[in-house]
Amino acid sequence: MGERIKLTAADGFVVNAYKAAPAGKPKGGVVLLQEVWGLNHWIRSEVDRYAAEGYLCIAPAMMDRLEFGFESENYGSDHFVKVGELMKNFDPAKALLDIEAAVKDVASAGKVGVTGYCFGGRFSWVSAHAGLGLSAASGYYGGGIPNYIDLAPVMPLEMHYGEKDTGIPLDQIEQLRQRYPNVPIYVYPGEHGFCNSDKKSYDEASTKLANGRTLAFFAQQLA
Amino acid sequence: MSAALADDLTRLEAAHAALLEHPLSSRKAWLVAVLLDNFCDAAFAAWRGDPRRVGGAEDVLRFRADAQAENPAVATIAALCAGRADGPRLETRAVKVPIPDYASLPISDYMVSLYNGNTVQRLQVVLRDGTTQLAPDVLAEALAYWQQRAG
Repeated sequence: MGERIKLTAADGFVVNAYKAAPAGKPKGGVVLLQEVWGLNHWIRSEVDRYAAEGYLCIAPAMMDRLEFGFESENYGSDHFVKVGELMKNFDPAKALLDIEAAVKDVASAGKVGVTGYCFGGRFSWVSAHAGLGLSAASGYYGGGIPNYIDLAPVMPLEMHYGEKDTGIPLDQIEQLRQRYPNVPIYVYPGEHGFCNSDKKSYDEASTKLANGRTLAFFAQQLA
Repeated sequence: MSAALADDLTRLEAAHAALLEHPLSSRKAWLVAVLLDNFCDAAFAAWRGDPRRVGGAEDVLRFRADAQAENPAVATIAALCAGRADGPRLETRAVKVPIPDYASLPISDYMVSLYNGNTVQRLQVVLRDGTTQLAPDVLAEALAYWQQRAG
């Protein structure tokens, strides 16, 4: 089990984080980027999972600049408007400062990789373009491909998408593959959010396959 | 309904069901559009001996024109399938969603829209004058028209 800590970003902003350490010497560091519900139960369980796999893992609270301490277990549509209002003030540039602070925090473990889901999947790609001291990135179903397709990665990167994702057109995933033939882009039978075991969209078979690929990728790239 | 036309309708309905599963798939939308456009020809071929069913149309082009005049979605699909340079086209576009409407979004659209400037992806028919219609709505309307006529 991990612990809740605080990080200080380069601009002085103090951000919450959840961090878990492996039992032995870490294989490397992993920054895990959340969906849009903050450091909720599932995200914390993912951090713990990476620690169990041997990585020093941390998830920065990416919503803290909008509402400090925000996290929610409510995946229902009754919550959509509130989070929508919250995200109106989201600043992507400042989000990168929080990711960078998380990278520095786990850099003692060796090379650091980034992974994340949905919002975090998008920022896995953006981080792979920005650098931020990272060595590899493995992102899951980051939406808005036209908004990041021009951001060429500067490190090894792989992506995972669901073929039944009604928020991310397959046509756009195909464009991404054509644009970056050296970036492994995997497509699974699942829908959006297929890895989240706390949601109805959970697809166990796709998740096992995708998680296995990410672990193999990190084992290779962070060694 | 003839067995051949019933088969055409079944194939069309199956393609439409697949589109509903993947509402952003332009390939699936194209398939439905082409099957719909083809259904018009198939219906005329099946009904041509029955003036009541073809509405008095003497040839397939008259029958198509009458159907297009009767239903705007059928007309849009016919123009789309004709593939003329100045005709309508199918495009995936980002569409702004007012925050009060968020509660009605599917969860995947909602999540993705939050970090994409409150926009969602939508498959649209872009008409000659630049106006747009949601492609799944146009296709559903045309399908309903043919289901009613064939029923």
